[in-house]
Amino acid sequence: MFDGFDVSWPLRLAIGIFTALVAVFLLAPSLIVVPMSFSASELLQFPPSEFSLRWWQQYWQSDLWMPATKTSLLLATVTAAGAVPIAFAAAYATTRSLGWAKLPLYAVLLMPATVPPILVAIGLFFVLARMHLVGSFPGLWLGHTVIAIPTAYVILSAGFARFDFTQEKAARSLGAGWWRSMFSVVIPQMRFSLLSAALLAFLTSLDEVIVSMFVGGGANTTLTKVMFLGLRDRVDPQAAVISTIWIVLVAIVVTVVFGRQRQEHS
Amino acid sequence: MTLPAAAGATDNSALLRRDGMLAQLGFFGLALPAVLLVTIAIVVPLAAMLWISIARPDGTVSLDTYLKIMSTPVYTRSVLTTFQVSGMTVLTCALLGTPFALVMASVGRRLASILLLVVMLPFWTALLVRTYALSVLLQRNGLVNRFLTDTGLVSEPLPLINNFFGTIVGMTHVMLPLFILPVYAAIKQIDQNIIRAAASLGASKLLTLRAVILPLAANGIFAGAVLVFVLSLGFYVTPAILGGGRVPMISTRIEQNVSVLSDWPAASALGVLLLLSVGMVFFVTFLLRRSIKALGGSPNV
Repeated sequence: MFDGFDVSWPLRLAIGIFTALVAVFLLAPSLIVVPMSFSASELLQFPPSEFSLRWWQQYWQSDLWMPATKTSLLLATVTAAGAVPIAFAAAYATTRSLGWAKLPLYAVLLMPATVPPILVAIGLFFVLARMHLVGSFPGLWLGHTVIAIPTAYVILSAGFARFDFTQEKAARSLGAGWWRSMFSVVIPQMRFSLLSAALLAFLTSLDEVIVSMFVGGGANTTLTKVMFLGLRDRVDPQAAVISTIWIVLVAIVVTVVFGRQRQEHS
Repeated sequence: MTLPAAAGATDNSALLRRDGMLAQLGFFGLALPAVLLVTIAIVVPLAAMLWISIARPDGTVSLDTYLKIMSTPVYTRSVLTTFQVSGMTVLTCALLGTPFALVMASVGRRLASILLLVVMLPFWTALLVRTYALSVLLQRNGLVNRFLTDTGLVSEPLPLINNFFGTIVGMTHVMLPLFILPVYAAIKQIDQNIIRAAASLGASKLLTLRAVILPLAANGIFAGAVLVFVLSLGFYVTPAILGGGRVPMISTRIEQNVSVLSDWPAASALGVLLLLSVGMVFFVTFLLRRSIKALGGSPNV
C-alpha cells in the first residue's frame, strides 16, 4: 500500500526504530516471564542469575495453585460449552432476520462487553448473595458465560455473514427437516467459526478477574483470584510459572485462530 | 417429507405467510436464552443498583447518596483521577498506535502479518500475566531501571510503579491493541488512487499524510479513542496493581465500598455515575458524528 510514498532513509530508519520499540513494548511483558519461571532465586529478577526448576516443582505440589488451576480449567470449559451454543442460536437468529428487533437485540447481546466489569461483578454478587450462590460454581458459570457471550456472538455473527443461506434452503427443499439441515449443513460449514468462538470464550473465562474475585471463593477459587490477591500483596515468583503456561496456551490459540483466518482470506 | 407446494396447490400464499411468521417466532425463541442470561446477570442487578442508590430505609426516594458523594473529597478525587487516567491512556495510545498502524498498512504482506501477530498476542494474553510482568520490569531494581542507571541516563532508580506513571504504562499496554486494530482497518480501506493523486499533484509526503491519509483514517482513530476511553473508565485491575493504591479510580472505590465498608448505597451510586459517564461518552460520540454529517463534513467521521 501507499506506493509513491517513499521516504528518505533517515526518516525510514526513525520509523523503523519507533515501530520496533512499540513492538518490544507490546511483546516484552509476555516474553520475560518464561525465563523468570526457571529462576533459582527467591527474588523476582530479570534476567535470572541462576536457573532451576524449583518454582515448577512447587507449583506442581502446591495446594493453593493446583486446585485453582483445576477450577479455572473446568470453569473455562463449561463456560465455552454454555456460551457458544447460546451465542450460536442468537447469531443465527439475528442474521436470518428479526426485523426491527435486530438493533435492540444487538445492544442487549453486547451489553456484557460495554458495562464496566466491576459493575457486572458487584451486581452479580448482590443477586447471587440473595440466592446463596456466592462462592458456588453455578454462580461463577453464570458470570463467566454472560461475559463470554459478546465475544462468541461477534465471531459467530461474522461467520454467518459469510455463510450462504441458500445452502440451507437447498437442504430444506430437498426434504431435510430443520434439525437435519442444521446439523448436516449449517454446523459443518460453520465449524471453524465455532472452534474460534469456543477457544476465545475459553480464554475469556480463564482471563476473567473481577467476577471471579467477587463471586468465587472457597473450593471454587479461580487462578485469577489467587494470582490477583498474590500480586496485590507481594510479587510471587510462582506466578511466573502460571504465566508461562498461560502464554504457551494463548500462543497456540492465537496461531490456530488467526493463522487459519489468514489462510481463508488469501 | 413432501412439501405442500409440490402437491399442486395453486395458492399457497397464506401458508407461506404463516410459515414466515412461525419462522420469525422461532428466531425470537433462538435469541431468548442469550437475552434471558444477560437480563438475569446484568439488567436486573443494574436496576437493583439504581434502586439501592436512591431508596431510603423508609421506602421513599431521595438523591441523598449522590449529594453525599459529590461533597466527599475521597469520591470526587476518584472521579477526577478516573478521567485523568482514561484521557492520558487515550493520548498515549493515539501517539504510539497511529504511527504503528500506518506502518502496518504500508509495509509488505509478510511483515504486516507479523506486526498483526505482535498486536494480537498481547491482546489475548491474560491481563494479570501482563500486569505481573510489567510490575517486574518496572520495579526499583527491574530491567528498565537497571538499563537507565547502567547507561548513566539517571543516577538514581526512578519510581516507575506504584504511581500514576506505572498505571498509564499498564493501561496503555492493555489498550494499545484495541486502538491499533480499528485504526489499521480504517487505513487499509483508503483508496490508493487518492494517495497517488495527491502525489501526482505535487503534494509533499507530510502534506499527503496530514491532508489525505489522516482525515480519511479519522473514522478509525475516533472509534479507537472512544473505545479506549470508555473501557478505561471502568478499569479496575491494572490501576489496583500498578498504581499501588495511589491511583484511586471510581472502580477502586466501588470495590472498597462493597468488600470493606459494605456500604451498598454508596457503591451503587458510584456505579450509576460510572455507567452514566460511559453512556454519556457514547451519546456525545453519536451527537458529534451527527452534527459533523449535518455540517456537510466527511460522512465517514
